[in-house]
Amino acid sequence: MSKFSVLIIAFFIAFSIIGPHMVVEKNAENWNNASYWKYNPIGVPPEWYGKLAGLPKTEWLEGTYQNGSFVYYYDFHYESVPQNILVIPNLTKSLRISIVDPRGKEYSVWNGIVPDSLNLATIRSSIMNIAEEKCNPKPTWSQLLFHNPLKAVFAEPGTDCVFHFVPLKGTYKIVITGTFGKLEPNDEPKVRVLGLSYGRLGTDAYGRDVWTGYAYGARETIMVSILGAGILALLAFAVGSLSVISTKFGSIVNAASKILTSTPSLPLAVLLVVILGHIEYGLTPNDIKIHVNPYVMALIVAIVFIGTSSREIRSIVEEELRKEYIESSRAMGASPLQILRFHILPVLLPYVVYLFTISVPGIIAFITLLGFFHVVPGFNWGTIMSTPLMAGIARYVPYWWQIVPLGLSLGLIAYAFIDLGRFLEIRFLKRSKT
Amino acid sequence: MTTRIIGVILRELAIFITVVMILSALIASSEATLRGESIGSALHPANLVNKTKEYFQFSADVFKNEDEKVITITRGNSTLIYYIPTPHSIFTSTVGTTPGTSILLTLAILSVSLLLILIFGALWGLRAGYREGIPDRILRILGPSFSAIPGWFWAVALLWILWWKLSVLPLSYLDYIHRASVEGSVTVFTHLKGLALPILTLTLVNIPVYAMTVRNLIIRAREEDYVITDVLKGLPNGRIERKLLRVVLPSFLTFTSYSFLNLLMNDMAVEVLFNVPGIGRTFMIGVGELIFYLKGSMLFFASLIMSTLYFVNASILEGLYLKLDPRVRRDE
Repeated sequence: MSKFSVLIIAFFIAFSIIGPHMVVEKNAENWNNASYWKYNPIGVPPEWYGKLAGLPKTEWLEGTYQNGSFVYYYDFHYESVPQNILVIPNLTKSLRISIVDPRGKEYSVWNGIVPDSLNLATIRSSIMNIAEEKCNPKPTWSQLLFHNPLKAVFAEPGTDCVFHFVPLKGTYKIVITGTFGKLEPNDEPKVRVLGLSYGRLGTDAYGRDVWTGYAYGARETIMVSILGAGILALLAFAVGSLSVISTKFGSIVNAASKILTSTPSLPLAVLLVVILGHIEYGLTPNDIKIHVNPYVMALIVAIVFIGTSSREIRSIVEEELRKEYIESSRAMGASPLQILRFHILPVLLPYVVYLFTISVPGIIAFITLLGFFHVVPGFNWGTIMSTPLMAGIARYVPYWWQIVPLGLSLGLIAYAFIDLGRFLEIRFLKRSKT
Repeated sequence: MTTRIIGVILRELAIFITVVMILSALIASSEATLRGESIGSALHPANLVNKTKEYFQFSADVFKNEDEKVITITRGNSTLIYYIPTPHSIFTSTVGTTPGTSILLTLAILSVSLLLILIFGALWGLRAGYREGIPDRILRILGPSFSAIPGWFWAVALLWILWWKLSVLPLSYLDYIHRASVEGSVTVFTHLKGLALPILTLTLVNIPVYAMTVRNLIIRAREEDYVITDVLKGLPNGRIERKLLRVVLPSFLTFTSYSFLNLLMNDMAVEVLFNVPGIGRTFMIGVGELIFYLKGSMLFFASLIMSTLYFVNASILEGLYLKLDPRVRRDE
C-alpha cells in the first residue's frame, strides 16, 4: 500500500472533522432558503480560477465617510465586468448614488428611496444615459441586457460597449449621499460587487456557496460511509460466525441475503429513508428537507449492501468448514465455538477488515447517487449533486466547479480505500489461503 | 438438466415474489409515515393486501391505452368539466413516453452497453493478459481508477466533452427525439444517436473493470499446461488467444450476474442525467410522487420493473451456468 493512500484517507478523515468548522454554520442551515443567497452571484467559478482567468471577484466594498457622503473605491483591472453591483441601505432615507470613473467623470445612477437593495445594472434609464454618452455605436437596452448592462459603465469611452468591449481600467468611485441632505456616519449603506468568481468553490445556479456544501457535507458523508461500512463488516462477521454455530441459522441467513441481493438497492434505500426519517416541506420542491439520523442512515446503507457481503462471507466460512483440518478437529471433539475461535476467526477477521475498506467508497458513491433522485437525507455530498439536476441539466453543465471537486474527492477516497483493501488482500487473505 | 433449470427458475420466481411483496409493504409503510399514520395499520394484512392490489392494478393499467376520462356536469347555464386522469395518461404525461417504450429504452441501453462491454472488455483483457505490453500497462492504471470513480462522474465528463465542447452528440434524448419528430426524420439511428451518451457512459465505466477481470483470468490460464503446450508447438498468438476466449466467456456471466444491479443503478442515474424516459426517470418521478403527493403507485411500478429485470437476468444466467459450467454438468 502506498503512503499516498494513507495520506489521502487521513486527509479526508481530518477534513470531515475540520471542514464543517471552516464554513459559516448559518450558510449550511439556510442551504434551501433561496432568499438567503440573494447577495451572491449566480453560477460563477471559484476565486482562484477567477484570478487565473482575470475575472472580477465578489467583494464588499469598504466605504469612507466624507462630508456627509459615503465613498466606495472599486479597483477595476479586469477584462470582464462584474455580474452586478448591489447597494444595500440600512435606512429608508432617499439616496443619491453616482459613479465616478477613473477619468473623474461622474454619472448619476439613482436618486430616490432604496427599499431593500438596488441592482445598479438594472436601472435602465441611468444605464442608457451612460451608454448614450460613452458607447459608439449606442446599444439598445435589450442588447445591453443580454450582454450585461454594466459594460456601458466600465467601457472605454467612444468604443463598442457590447460586441467589442474595451474596459476602462482604474479606480471607480461609488458615491452615496442623501437626496435631501447629508448622511450621518452611522447611516452607512453596504455596497457589494457581485463578481464573476466567488469563494473557494464558486456558486451554483441559486447563488449558493458550493464550498459550504462540500465542506459541511464532508462530515456526514464520510461519517455515514465509515460507520455504514463498520456496521456492514460487523453484520457480515456475525453472519459468518453464526453460520458456523448453527446450520439452520446459516440457511436462513442464506435465504435472507439472496432476497436482499435481489432487491433493487435504490428503491430499498429510498423507502427506508422515508420510513425511518422525517420530511419537512417548504414552499417550493427545493425546500424539502429529509432528516435522518446519521447512525440510522449508516444502518440503512449497511442493510442495502449486506446481501452480497453476507453471501461472500458465508461461502468463505463454508469453504473453510469443508477443509480436512476442521474435519479432524471435529473428530477430536472440538465444539463449534472452538472451531469458530481457533480456525474460522483467523480466516474471517482479515476478510471482514478487507470488506470494510472496500465498502467505504461504494457507500459514498451510493449516498451521492441518492441526490440524483432528490433524496438527500441530511446534509451530505448528495446535496451538491441534487442541485444541478434540479436546476436543469443544460444550466448545470458549465458549472464544472460543482462536479469536478466532488468527483475528484470521491475518486481519491475510493482509490485510497481500494488500495488499502488490496494491501490487506495480499498481506492477509492470500497468506491465509495458502 | 431441464428439471434443474426449471428448479432454478422456480427458486428465482419465489425470490422475485418475496422481493415484490417486501417492496409493496415498504411503499405502503412510506405512504402511511408521510400521512402521519402508524406503520402498524399500513402493515395490517387486510390493508396491505388492498394496497398491493392497488399497486398491481396501477401497474397493469398503465399499459391500457386509455386517455383521461372527461365528465361534464351541466347545472343551469354553467357547465363543469372534470378531467380524470387514467394511470396510462398519468404515466405518459409525467414520464414523457408510454410504459412499453420506457421499458424498451432501458432494455436497449442495458443490452447495447453489455454487448459493447463484452466485445471490447474481452478483447482488451485478452490482449493485456496474454501479450502484456502497453495495453496491459494502460489497463493496470485505468482498471482501479475506473472501478473507484462513480459512473455519474464519467457521464458528466463525457457530456462536457461530447456535448458542451464538441457538440457531437445530443445531451437530452427527449429533446433530440422531439426535434427530430418535428422535422419528420425519426429513424433507428436517431434513437441510437440520442442514446449514444448514456450508452457510452455505461460502456466506458465498465470496459476497464471487465477487461481487468479478463486479464486476471488470462494470466492464470496462460500458466496452464495446454496453453504452454500450444506455445511450445509454435501455434500463432492469434490462435492461442482464440482458444483462451473460451475461458473468458463464462467469466462474463459471473461479471454480469454480480454487476447487474450495479449496472442497473448506474443506468438509473444516467437516464436521469440525459433525460431518457426509461425506468430510471420513472423511478425519479415515482419518488417525487411518493414524497409530494403521497402516492406510491408509480414508484411501485418502477421497482416492479427493476425487480423483473433482475429476475429475468438471474434466471437466464443461472440457467446458462447449468448449461455452460463443466463443473455443474459433471455434478449431474
